[in-house]
Amino acid sequence: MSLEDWPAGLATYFGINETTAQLLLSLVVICTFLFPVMLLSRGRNAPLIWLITIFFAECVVLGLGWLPFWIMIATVALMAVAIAFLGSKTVTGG
Amino acid sequence: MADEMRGFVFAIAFIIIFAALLSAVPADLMGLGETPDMVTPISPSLATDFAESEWYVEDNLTAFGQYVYTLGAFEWVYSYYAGTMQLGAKVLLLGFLWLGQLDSCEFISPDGENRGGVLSITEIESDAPNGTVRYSLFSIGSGNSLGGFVVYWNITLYADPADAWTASELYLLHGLGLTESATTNIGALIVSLLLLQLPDVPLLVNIILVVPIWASIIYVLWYIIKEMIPFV
Repeated sequence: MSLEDWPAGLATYFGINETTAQLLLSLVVICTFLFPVMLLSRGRNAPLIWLITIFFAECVVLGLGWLPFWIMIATVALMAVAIAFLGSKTVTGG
Repeated sequence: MADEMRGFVFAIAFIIIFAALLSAVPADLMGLGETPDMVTPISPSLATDFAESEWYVEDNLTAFGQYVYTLGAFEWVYSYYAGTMQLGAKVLLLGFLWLGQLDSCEFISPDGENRGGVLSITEIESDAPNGTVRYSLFSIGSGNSLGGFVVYWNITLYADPADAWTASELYLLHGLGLTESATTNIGALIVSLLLLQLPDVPLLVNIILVVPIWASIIYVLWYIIKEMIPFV
């Protein structure tokens, strides 16, 4: 079974629908990347580091076809908000 | 005043960073998850370079022998009549009005033979000794590449493609390759995001995604206009 077929396999095994299986597996992959980073990163800019980690983890699950593409757009928007917020604070001296 | 200035810098930075990050996302990521070999059995070698595809059989056709579908940036019309088939992209007037005009495709066989704009079942039979053939599609009008057209059927069940067609087991697959769609997809994605027309995305999600962007654009415009008018 290839990695792309894992959600289908999980859905069959647990008797759930495939979308739920995709979300579950994606969550596992994202958390595997995210939790160690959360543990290691501290400070005011930590959420930005978490977002970047989520972004890379999402690239993996999107590449596997487990998540719809708009999830990535939402993460990119959040990252842009975080970076723009930090940038505007720095530029305007806030 | 300082808050307005900060808001202005934030809005500009948000728009620029969002567009830059979205453009940096590999377009290939959009195409996976719906490769043709996932929906129907097909030799992967025929389908690996398709970013998106549409497949259909005789059962999908209307009573008038047509099948209309959206693929890439176009709406396509497939027509079948008396053992022959044609494929073309709708030519829309002002971007939305269709008056029946089609940008027809010509079918180029793997051997490089031009089958013209009308492909017959007999030609398919001679082009596909193993039950699969992949034609390259080109616009008759402009000569642009319009993707690939794969015809396949189970040769152990049906020796003749005409029989497979009658049994609705002659599969037709129209695919657009990554190289043809990847460079334009992110641009098209940003536009469709702003116009609430993201493909395969619920409208509410699209609205949630686009509201901050439009809000930023409006804020930037408002701030610039305000600064240009001295008495406001």
